Amino acid sequence: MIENLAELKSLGTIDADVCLIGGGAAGITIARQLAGSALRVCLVEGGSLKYETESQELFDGQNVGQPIALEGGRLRFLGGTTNHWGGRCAMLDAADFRARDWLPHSGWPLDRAELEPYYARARAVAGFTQEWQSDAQTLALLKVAPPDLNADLIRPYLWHYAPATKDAGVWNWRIAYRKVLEDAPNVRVLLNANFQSFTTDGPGRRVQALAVRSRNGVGATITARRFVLCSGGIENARLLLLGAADRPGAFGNAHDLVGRYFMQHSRGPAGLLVSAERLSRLQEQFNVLLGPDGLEYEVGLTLAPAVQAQQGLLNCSAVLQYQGDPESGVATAQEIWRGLLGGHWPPQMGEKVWRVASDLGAFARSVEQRLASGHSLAADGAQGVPSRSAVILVDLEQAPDPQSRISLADERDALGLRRVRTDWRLGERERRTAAAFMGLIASEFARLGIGRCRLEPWLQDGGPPMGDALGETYHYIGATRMAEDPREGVVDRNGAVHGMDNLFVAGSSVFPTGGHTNPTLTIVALALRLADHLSK
Amino acid sequence: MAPVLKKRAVLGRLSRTGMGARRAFVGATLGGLAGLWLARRAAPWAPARPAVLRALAPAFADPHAMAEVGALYLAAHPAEADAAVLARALCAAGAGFDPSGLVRQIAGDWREQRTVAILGWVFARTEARLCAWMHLEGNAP
Repeated sequence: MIENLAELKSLGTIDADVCLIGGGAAGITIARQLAGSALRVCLVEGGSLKYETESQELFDGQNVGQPIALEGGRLRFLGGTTNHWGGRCAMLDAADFRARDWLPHSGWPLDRAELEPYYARARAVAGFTQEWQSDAQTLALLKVAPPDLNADLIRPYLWHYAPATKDAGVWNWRIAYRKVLEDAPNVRVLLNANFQSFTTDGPGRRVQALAVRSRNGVGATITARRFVLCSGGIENARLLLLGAADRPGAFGNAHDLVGRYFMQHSRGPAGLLVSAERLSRLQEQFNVLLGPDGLEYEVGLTLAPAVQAQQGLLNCSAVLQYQGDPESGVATAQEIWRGLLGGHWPPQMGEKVWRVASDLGAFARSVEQRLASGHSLAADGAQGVPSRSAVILVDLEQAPDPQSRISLADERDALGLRRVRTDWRLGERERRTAAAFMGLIASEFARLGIGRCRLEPWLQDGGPPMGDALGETYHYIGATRMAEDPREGVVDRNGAVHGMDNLFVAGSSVFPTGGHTNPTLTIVALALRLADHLSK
Repeated sequence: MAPVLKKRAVLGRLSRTGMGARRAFVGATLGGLAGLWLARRAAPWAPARPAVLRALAPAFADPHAMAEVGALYLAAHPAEADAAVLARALCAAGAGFDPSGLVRQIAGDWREQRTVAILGWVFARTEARLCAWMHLEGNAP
């Protein structure tokens, strides 16, 4: 059942077995998993079924470090931030889970093998109907024969794109699972139910009730045996800090760890690859490619774990963003086509037609690729356009840093709660990782005669700060980190908040380290694992 | 070429006999070693411009650019701003100075990540040194 708190006169108290606070990837996954079970589940979502500016504004806050798009990077309605999810899926590497002696505060309390069965189930939740094959098998299916890279240095990396939900460009949790939530007899979803406060027992070990309120003032109380914060990488920490503000030392903050080790993948251009020849072969190897199963895949590069260990580096990956050759027949045909669509006859038409005619092979391949991937000839972008250069975009893991943190600002939101303050900090290790990775890509591409690379200024001596060159990915990680020792983390290996009997956290905020890849699949895998734990 | 010529000279003098021959041997050996030392100290080779151009062809279409990159390399590595030092550095890499040797040496640099970044462009170290040689020798047209 899905109800809108803002449209009810009053609701009183809801008694549940499990109360999920937040309706994004983690909250919906747990609710879906518990649907049909004997447990009474109540999911409270601060937003409604669609984007609303007034609700979204509640996400605003204060940046005192590296800027973060607090309002734009997250979405506050059912489905949460997955409402702008790109569908890019991959598992964290096995090495990401291990303690790395060169990386302080690294190491998960569980390993990749333990998470494997949940990854398999997470793929189904993310819309994949078939089991993933090995990377080598998938590359063969895609007819990709990667260049002969030295795999001890850099190697191909594969992402899978989730299939699109009907009526959406990509897999969308809200669309995919709304009906499940509506129909499940044991699941009650309250929309526009914004967090107000927790009530705890005397010692502050047990959450007894959660008070919620709509923006128009309708209140409700949820009592439950267990509460799970599923509010996103930043909000999870904020809600714990709001709880701890009333009860210092409670809500997992006995060791002042809530909000610390806040991380994000940084993404941005690290270099430019240029070649005297067209990069046609490379475009068929490293790109977003359509598989015979109708799904899209992306092939990029990653840094070998041995190099990370030898040089004390972080994990990272790169993809190539091709720059269409404006002189190519395809680009010229695009120019003609757009001109004709715009109602004007392009100048120097004869020369342009000749250029298309003399590049007919590449033109035909491009049209074929564009048709297969649903891009029209008029669409912008270098899809299928032969290229002589490509921007190398890197995704960087961030090193855990206790000084990089989330705290509470003095300013209050429209509901009277203190807003979030972020002090996101990037370190020299991230820059050093990108420089080493780019150096290896440059060496390998030159060795193989693919092309030459120029490093972006932020990787050069005396260049601008890294933070000015890299962008956000909205992958907010680490602020309620997982560790067996309460002095090292906020939650234990099951997501239970240290020092609390019935409060759990789900989402990327529990990742002690984040690898380089998109976190959604791991969020879902951990949510499924937590759902199993809650079912016991 | 120089070391080979000296060796021939030493072998010629060894055909004599007796004390004179021993003196001649010692003299010739010392002379040969001195010659070798002087030869290496000065410039053990004179890389043919076509060989350099061929080795640098994958990176450069314009010899002017080679010399400019060479100047920047030397600004960052002032200790190599001397033709003899540069020649020794190239020589120490051991691939020889014929065109295919230089190409092999550059390939080895890529394999072993012996690279330098100049204005952000990543070059094999041998490429950068050949550019520096072009600059020092004033070989840019």
